[in-house]
Amino acid sequence: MRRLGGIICVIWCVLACVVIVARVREGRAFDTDIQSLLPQSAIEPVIRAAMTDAGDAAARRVAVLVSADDPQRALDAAADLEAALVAANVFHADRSDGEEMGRWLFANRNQLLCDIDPARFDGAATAQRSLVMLYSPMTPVSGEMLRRDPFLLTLQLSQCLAPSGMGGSAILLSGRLENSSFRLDVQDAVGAVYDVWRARWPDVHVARAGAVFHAREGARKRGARCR
Amino acid sequence: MMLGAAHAQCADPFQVAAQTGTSAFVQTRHLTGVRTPLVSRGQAVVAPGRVEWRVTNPIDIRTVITPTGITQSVENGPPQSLGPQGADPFASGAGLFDLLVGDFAAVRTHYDIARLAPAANGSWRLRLTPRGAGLARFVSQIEVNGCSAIEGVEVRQANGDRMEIALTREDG
Repeated sequence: MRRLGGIICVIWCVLACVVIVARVREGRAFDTDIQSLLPQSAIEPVIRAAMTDAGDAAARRVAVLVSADDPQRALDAAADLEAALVAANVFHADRSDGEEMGRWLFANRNQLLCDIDPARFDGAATAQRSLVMLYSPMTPVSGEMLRRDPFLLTLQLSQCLAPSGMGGSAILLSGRLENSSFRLDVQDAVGAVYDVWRARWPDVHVARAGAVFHAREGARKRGARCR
Repeated sequence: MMLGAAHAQCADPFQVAAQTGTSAFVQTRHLTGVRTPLVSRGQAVVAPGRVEWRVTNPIDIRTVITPTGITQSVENGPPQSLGPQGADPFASGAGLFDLLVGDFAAVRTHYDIARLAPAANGSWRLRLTPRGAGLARFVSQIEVNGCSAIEGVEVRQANGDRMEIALTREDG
């Protein structure tokens, strides 16, 4: 009986090693999402799937605010970081979704609000903003746009909801990761690109947000403690 | 397009660079499918590295364009930074600012410039054609005329819309 148990244990170990080696060779790193440890039957499958999707979408978000004394330097540094992340196939910038986002805003313009609190919606202010857009030299209003969206709600929403430059000398780079931020290989790839970029632009100021940065920082500190 | 009075001798358009001062403007937007043109009036104040474009009629809009950014205030409200989504490609970094400060070297980074035959009153005329496909999606061509300073700008947009700006010097 003890011999049979030993054989089963050896088989289990071999299978585990095969799975681990296969995943590493395929480049599929290990899932570090703590929610993956929860019992599969603890929650309705549909609700669990919705929570997983929402969590994954939020965890993939990345935002980096780059500022410098010279605005052009901040702009160049942010463009360099975006190019490096895209070249590494780990990042999709929000600004490359401009047309897609414009179509979505137009389709949902009557349901979306710039105000967080619907009770604060001000119809008169919305009408005045459309008038400002009509006569401002800075707004790309067209006759077709005016015909289909007389209050220019799509443009108004694009100004308040879409990511943009922060004004002054700060540039916001935002987007989503191509793969889950809980994958170790994704964390390593993003971290490597970021570190090389940071070395190229040591004089710019950076504020960053995103689960991938928190995860990598946690792994780095844990590694330091283990040593 | 509105032109100034007859000009006996006009300066070389490429020598009108870096003119500062105040001009009154009338901006007329012809939008496809909109029968009545949208007319606004105001003042343009050009200072080194800074253009203030103030619409006073029919609504008060103060737009300040500098190399570092664009702010806008409405009816004397607090200035707010304009994001790139709200900026017209001609009016933001790719034309109006450089034209108003007379920086044709900067204009050339975005447009090919061709000199046209002078107008009947002797003013010079330039045609600007976008160099890049990105800008050409919005702007077909721009025609600029003037004598000692820029007096008129006509922007023909790729979608068929058209905008005219007539400028009249108020000082100097």
